[in-house]
Amino acid sequence: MTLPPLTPPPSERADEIRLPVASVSFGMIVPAIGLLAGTWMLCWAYSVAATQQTGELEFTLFWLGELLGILPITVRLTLANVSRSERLALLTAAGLFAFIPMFLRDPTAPIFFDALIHWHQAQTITQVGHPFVANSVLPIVRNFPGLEELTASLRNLTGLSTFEIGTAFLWLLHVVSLIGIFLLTELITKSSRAAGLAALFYSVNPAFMFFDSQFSYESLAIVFAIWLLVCVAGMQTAVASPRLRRTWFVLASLLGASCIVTHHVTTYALIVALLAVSFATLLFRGQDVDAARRSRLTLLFTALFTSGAAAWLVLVAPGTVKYLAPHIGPDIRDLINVVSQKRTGHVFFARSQGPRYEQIAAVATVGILISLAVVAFRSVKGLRKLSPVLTGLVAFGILYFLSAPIVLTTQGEAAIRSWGDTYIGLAALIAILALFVLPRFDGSSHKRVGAIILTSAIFAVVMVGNVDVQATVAYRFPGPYIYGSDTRSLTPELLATADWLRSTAGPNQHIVADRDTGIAIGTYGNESVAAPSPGFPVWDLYFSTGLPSKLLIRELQSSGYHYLVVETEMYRSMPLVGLYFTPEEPKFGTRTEPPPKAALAKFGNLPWLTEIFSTQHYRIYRMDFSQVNACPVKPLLATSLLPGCRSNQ
Amino acid sequence: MIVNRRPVIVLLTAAALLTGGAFVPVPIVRALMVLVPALILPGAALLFGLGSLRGRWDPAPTIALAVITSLAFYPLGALLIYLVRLRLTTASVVVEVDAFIALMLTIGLIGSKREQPDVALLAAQVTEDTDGRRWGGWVIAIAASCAGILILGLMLLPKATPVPYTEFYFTGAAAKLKGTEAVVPGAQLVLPIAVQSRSGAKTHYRIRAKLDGNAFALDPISVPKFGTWRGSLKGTVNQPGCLHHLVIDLINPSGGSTVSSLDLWIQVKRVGC
Repeated sequence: MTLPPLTPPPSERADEIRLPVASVSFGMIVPAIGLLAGTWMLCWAYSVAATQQTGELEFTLFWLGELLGILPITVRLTLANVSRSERLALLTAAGLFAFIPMFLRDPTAPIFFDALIHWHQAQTITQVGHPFVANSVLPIVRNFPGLEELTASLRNLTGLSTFEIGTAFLWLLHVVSLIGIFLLTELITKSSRAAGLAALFYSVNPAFMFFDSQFSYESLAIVFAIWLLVCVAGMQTAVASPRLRRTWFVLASLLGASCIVTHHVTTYALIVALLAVSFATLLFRGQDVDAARRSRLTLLFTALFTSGAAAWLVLVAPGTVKYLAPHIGPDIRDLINVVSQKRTGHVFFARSQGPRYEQIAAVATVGILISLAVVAFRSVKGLRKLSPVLTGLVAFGILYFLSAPIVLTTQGEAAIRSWGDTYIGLAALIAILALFVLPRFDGSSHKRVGAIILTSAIFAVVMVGNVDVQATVAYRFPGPYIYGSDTRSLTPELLATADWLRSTAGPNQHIVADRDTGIAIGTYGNESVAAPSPGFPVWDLYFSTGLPSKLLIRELQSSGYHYLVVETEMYRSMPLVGLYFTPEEPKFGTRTEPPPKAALAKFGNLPWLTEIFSTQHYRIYRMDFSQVNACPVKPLLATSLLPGCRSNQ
Repeated sequence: MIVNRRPVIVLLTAAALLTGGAFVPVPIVRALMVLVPALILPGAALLFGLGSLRGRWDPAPTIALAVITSLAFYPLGALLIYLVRLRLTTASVVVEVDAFIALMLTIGLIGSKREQPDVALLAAQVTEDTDGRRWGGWVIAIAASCAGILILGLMLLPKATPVPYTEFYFTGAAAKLKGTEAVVPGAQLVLPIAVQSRSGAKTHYRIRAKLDGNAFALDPISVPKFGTWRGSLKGTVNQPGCLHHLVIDLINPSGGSTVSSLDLWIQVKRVGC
């Protein structure tokens, strides 16, 4: 059986009809006013957040701005008699607009944890001129240098700074990703209306506004993944033309290779998506010659891509599994606990610190998406009606529903990060609805208005809920210092501390620091920060009121660690991100109070530590391990901390 | 043989702009000349080489495809540069891009001789020409207006005022000391220290030093706004014993509270130590 190409519903054929100028003008003016007003409102929201006490006003202004920008676009994209060019223009504007909050968060320098690491890595790669440079803060980035190589190449060409280059292409990537989703869904549904709504839906995914806007390897790799899927869809639709088929294959290979060298998780998520598409192509391929060729081609490409990813993992990045395991393991455990209804000690909205309506929207989003999925499956009545790529993508999107319980009840870091990928599949689900359900509302003006209101409401709730789930308030808004928040703990005081250490001790010194200070010391300070682990438990220096073990002291001494950086707030507050060092640290997830103040007090009286720099919140100690057994004239600590004084007793 | 010269001319012109612009010494001119070609050119050349720019192509998706393939080209190009043991520099990246464009132009031109012209990879929809231009203009106008609003917003709306803080540190040899400071009994100990103020007001402090808890030195100082005070702490160590602890506090004279502290371990060079 030959799979017939999907025929656009009658209302869709209006896409090909030249529209009256007056209609186009209206379509131009309303979204334009919304976008301009929305931009101003966002500027205002960020100014309020930066200058006033934390409250509700910045949230209200933020959401007013976002809704002013996005809702008129949603309305236009919902309508049937809107041209394809208008849909593409509106999506381009939506992509540009979606980056504004990230730009306003800090228009001058990187502040997000991951962004700082990649920014520093790109700086180093530009300096040394080759890609595989060690990174003390996040060692895995050494083995996935795609983003940094791109940045270094563009820096060498343009002379712009890493931050400027990153901002330019990340802004551009927002537009390119939405056009990619548009093209992907248009290729498999033949409907620009379905494609427009699917792409706009992708733009309200949890990662789009903040996480995938930061200078980080995911932000680049996810767009490679989207366009690779476009190429696979292109391969399938162009199967009768050898030249076009070859072209799509070459483009997919280029994008796939770049994705592999850029980001691990996106690559592995893409393998899952490609497998889903391959199986769908195999199962629902029909009987014709082209169908068999289509199936072979997709399977061949999936096999090639998977082999490439496996080769990179084995030959270049063997540490990836060890790196990912501590992130994915707890999420899988949480999923099992949620499924088996065991008490996990977690509560709803564990991540959220936003207003109540955001939290409600976060839960409502899952409900809405489940409902939409049910309606979509009922409306299709048989997967054979769909193109295999669409079926495969929807199957991939279903993975979202597996991760949703984790995100709503725990930190769910890996689960949240997967949403940037699985939303590609959910966008395909929205395309099905736009293709099969929306035309039913085109009959009368009442129904059209109803469809517009319903669609706008769904988009608004999903956008609000998703931002709440993914981005903590400290990530979203500037404001007063918050300990352990990554963004708001990166203060000028900390940067000055990092700067002093670099200028005094020199770069690339081995430094012991916690996560909060380590990010600044290791990036802005250009130092090599200790990577704590159960085998190298530098957290003992901070948490314990006693002396560190002889083994740790010996390891620190032999590895050339001479400086220790302490943030005194560590002993007053719990870190907002939930950890002082890594998820492997003692009491991670169960700690209820900060480490004892006695652990801080000991630093001032140990003869092997000299405090050489100090501000209100930060201290730098010089470590001289030859003095571990020394005994001061007036010992102020217990002999357990001053082993050299035992003989004097 | 049917060769559309226009894309060839456009690609060569953009390549010349990129190659020349990359070596312009004026940063802003260099960025303006190179940024756009750098983001599109390799991808556009690849599409030309693959014969995808033949016929009438769909502008927005084709440009987006050219951009994403360009961004995919650079990481792989950089890996190639690494594999041939070259450094990633302006010259090596320019050569890499130019070589790729030359290769793609050659492949594209040979391909156009061999094959009949075909439809573009992403073919334009015939009815959308005028509409497309109008909406393209709309996007440019909106982007420019939003950029203007952003600039105005950043300039006019209130900004956060930085929280003041004070840095207190050893300078000179004391800052780079490997361990304890070794002194001869009775000799004067001189410790260079500095106080740096990140506050918009002149600040007065007292520096109080205690050796093993006993008074060692006390000095009032004034630090100019956003400025640095540099000085030395002087005293002698005559007490018995070998390892002494010197604690130096920076004190806020109004409340008497300690703003921050430094310390130093002093090893006395005498018999028995």
